[in-house]
Amino acid sequence: MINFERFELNNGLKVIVHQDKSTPIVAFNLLYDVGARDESPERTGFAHLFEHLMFGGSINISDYDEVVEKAGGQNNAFTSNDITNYYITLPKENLEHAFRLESDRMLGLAFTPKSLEVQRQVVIEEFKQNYLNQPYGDIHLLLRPLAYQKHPYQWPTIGKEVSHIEEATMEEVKNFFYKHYAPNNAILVVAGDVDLNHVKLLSKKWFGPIPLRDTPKRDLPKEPRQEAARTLKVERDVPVDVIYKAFHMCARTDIDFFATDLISDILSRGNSSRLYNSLVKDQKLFSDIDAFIGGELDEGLFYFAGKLTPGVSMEDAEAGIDAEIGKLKLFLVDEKELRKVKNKAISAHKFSELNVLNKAINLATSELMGDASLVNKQIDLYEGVTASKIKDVAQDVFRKANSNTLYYHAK
Amino acid sequence: MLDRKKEMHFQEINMPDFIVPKRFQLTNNLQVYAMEGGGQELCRLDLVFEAGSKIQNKALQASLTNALLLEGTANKKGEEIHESLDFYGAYTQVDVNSDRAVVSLFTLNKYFNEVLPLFIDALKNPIFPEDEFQIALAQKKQSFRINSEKVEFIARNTFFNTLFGTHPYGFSVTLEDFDRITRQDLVDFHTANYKNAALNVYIAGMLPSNTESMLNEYLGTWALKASNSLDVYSPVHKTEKTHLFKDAAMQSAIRIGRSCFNTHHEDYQPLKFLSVVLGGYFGSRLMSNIREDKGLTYGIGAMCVQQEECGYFCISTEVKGESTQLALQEIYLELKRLREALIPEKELSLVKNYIMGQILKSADGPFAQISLLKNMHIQGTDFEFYDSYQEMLNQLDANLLKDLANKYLKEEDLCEIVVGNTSE
Repeated sequence: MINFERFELNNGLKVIVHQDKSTPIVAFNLLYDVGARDESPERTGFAHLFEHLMFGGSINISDYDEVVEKAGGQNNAFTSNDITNYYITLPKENLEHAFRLESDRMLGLAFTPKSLEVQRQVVIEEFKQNYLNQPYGDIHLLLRPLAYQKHPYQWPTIGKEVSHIEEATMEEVKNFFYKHYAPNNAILVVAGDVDLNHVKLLSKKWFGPIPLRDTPKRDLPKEPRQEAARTLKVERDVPVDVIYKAFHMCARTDIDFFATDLISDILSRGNSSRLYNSLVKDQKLFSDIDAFIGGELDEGLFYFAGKLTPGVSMEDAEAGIDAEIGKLKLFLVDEKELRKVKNKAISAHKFSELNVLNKAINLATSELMGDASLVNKQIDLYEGVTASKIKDVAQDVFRKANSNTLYYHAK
Repeated sequence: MLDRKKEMHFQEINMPDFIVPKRFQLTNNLQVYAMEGGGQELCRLDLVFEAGSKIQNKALQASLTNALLLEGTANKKGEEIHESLDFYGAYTQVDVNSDRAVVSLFTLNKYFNEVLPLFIDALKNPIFPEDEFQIALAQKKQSFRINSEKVEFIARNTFFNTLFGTHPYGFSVTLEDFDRITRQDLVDFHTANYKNAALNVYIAGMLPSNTESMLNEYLGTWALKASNSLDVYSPVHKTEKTHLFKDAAMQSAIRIGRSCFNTHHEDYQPLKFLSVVLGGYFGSRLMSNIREDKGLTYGIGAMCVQQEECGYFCISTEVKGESTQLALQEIYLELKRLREALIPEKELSLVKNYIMGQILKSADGPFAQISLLKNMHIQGTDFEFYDSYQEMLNQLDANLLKDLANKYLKEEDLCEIVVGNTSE
């Protein structure tokens, strides 16, 4: 149970405060409601490039990192298809530095040409390091456009291609900032040994003067229901064959999300899971296989990812996955197995609340989904999933016509 | 009017309060360190064995033994063990490096009494079923083949091999090793190093009231042996420059460094500090120059790493292939600056604050603190180390650090490994 208080400034900034007196560290987490899904198809990778530029100096503070380090803090950020999230953890005595730094960045960036040039290069190297110069690195670059034809989830956060990053102009960078970086498009969470009134005071002092901005209402194309199976076959210079299957699933805010998540646990959480025991141990079709959900906010994907045992054909490997899917669609999960995955999900949730930063991030994303108190309802929502719900969801998600299969062959 | 430009005062960061661990001995004299607290109904148990790869007789012996600890006893199949642990929502984690093997259990405290017997039985009495062994071997072999394609992996192995030669610290696995290892090798290693163990036990969290008696019941009969005698190892100093061309590599992996010493050497902490200045945090000199000024890499770092018998200093990065030479030149330039110019006071104090902040974070709650204590014990120290740490930090001055750079970080005294685009 995470206790919290919430208030909103006149400029629309939502602030959530969680008090945890046991820690000397404060987590300061600022979430902006902008991600790769908000990019134009001609300028993909922009939200993430922008995250890098946020560290290139703001209107009044030239070196963000230096201030954090002097304060004995650590900071980082991440971009997903849905959000861009910035966080600082620092000794509680130095909390106000975080307010000064983040409010100045929200006020405006320095937008130096040098920063754009350098971060463009850094991001291109990141693209190479993680996606291009890596065996299997391009899987999501292939799979996403196969699965999505309309919705912007068709590209990963790094972007569709390097050229989009190469061609970004300063003008576009500025537009992106003023369009999406605004108090009324952000959620601030402060967690640690802090006092609500003190946080209120600091929030008003530093963020209060920033004007509300005109942020566009999100209106993304909805992905039409997939009615025919899609496949893609590629050959690469890699050591072993790999198969990926992706099925469209519900949105993060849908009640079926919890059943879908438990299905992925039944299939592949831990060594007692179905895929490991059936496909790795008994049939030896795969050396390794996983089932997982992407966790996106809009309608996302349910993935299977397997490395084939040498000598096994793609057809046999795929038939193995299909057979496990078939069982979920035909039979009810027995009570003991359901209890097991629920226990595991609940304990994972409790372990995720061990440190203040995780708690802060969980609160921020829950608030984004509509209500910070969702964070305290997770356990009940997992508890509420029934065996017949699991069967229904499996039948709906694992339709053949809803499948996107990538056959990744070794040369 | 709010003055946003004006820098505010930085509070000095004080040493956190370390929890004094409760120490007790089980009937077999096994040492247990316990830290009670934390807001969640959870606990963690760590068992640290002297079962690292440096004492193995055969490649892969230590890592496969460690990986397969929970995969089956004479009475229970691996899947039954996992089924039961999973049922209670418990997690396990196994880990091994050159010096130690660690086995950890994370559980809801209300199930501690159910989970502990299962966990200990599995660890103490594994039979390493042939089938499980073959599956794990095939998995590791496949990962090895995939990793062998990565410039970073090749550079890392070549670096250790260059520094430490035939000593276990320098050893890297080859594909053939996967065909030589047998199930019996695991049984033998387990008997010698787990069943008869040099072992320490750590437990933290909201502990059930019968923790001590439970531990006594399940760990108090474990057969213990004396700690392995510690060899002090001083490798022949190497200065090789090795460049390996990798076709079609977009990036080059670079490793530059040297062997040095372990935490007991008087220069260890100062050299570690110097490695932070050079490349241990986001605003460090290497990051500022090679990433933030020139955009040649996604990341670059320098570190000073403790190993029981001999530590090492290392700079590592992956850089844009066609800029490999420029990156090397700039790395050496930064080393030269450390040798020739005094570190400004402002930078020194920033790094000191940064390090204090790191310590604070690593002491955040009993789970973090027990982990810290465990690592300190592995390094042969204790929380007492921190009593004098801040004073040591305060005494580090620019002259001393410059001397240190001249003593250890001369270009001609360092090994250099480049894998990828090696054209001049």
